[in-house]
Amino acid sequence: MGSDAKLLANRIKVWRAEKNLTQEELARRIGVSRKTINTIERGVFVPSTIIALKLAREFGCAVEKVFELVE
Amino acid sequence: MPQTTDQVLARRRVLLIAFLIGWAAWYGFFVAQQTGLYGNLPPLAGGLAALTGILGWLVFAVAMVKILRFRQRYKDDPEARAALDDELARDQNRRASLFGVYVLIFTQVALVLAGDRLELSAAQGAHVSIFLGVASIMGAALWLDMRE
Repeated sequence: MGSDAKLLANRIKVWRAEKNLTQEELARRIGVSRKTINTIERGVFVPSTIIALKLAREFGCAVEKVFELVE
Repeated sequence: MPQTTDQVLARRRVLLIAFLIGWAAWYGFFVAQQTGLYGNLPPLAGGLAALTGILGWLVFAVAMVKILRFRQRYKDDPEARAALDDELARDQNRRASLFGVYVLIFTQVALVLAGDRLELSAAQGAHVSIFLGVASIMGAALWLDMRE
């Protein structure tokens, strides 16, 4: 998990600010705990494709706009 | 007033810590009895160990009842249930279980290597394995829960 996390960057914090969502609100909408959103946002936990797509849907953008591979 | 997912997770963590402490004290005392360690203790230490075991059993029993009530309480709350058993929680449980498997394998190897010197029966060895296996899995799950 640790090495995978280093390969994945995310812009969840930026999108949350744009949509004016707290971690708790986003977590409720996605159906996970706030801690899960926090660990994804900090790059500690790599989410499944399902959660990544749910996040993208919540932000109204493509998943590549939320997550990207670090080269 | 609805609870936040943090509050629900914190409540579960407290219950699991109480469960683990109570169970470890009670089952640890039981293992000490089974393996003959308890019989070798001086009277005062033996009395304290017995008291710890009894108190441990009480804490374990109360924690078990509270955990069952906790599960019942959130049975019909989809948001809380989703938070309690989401991807991160399942991933942490998977890693904790894997750690427990390694502890069990190591314990078995150690018991085999030290078998003649320890003079433990198969049943006594099994109790030691159960104690270390359950404690390591629950301990690792709680540690991951608190760390991440």
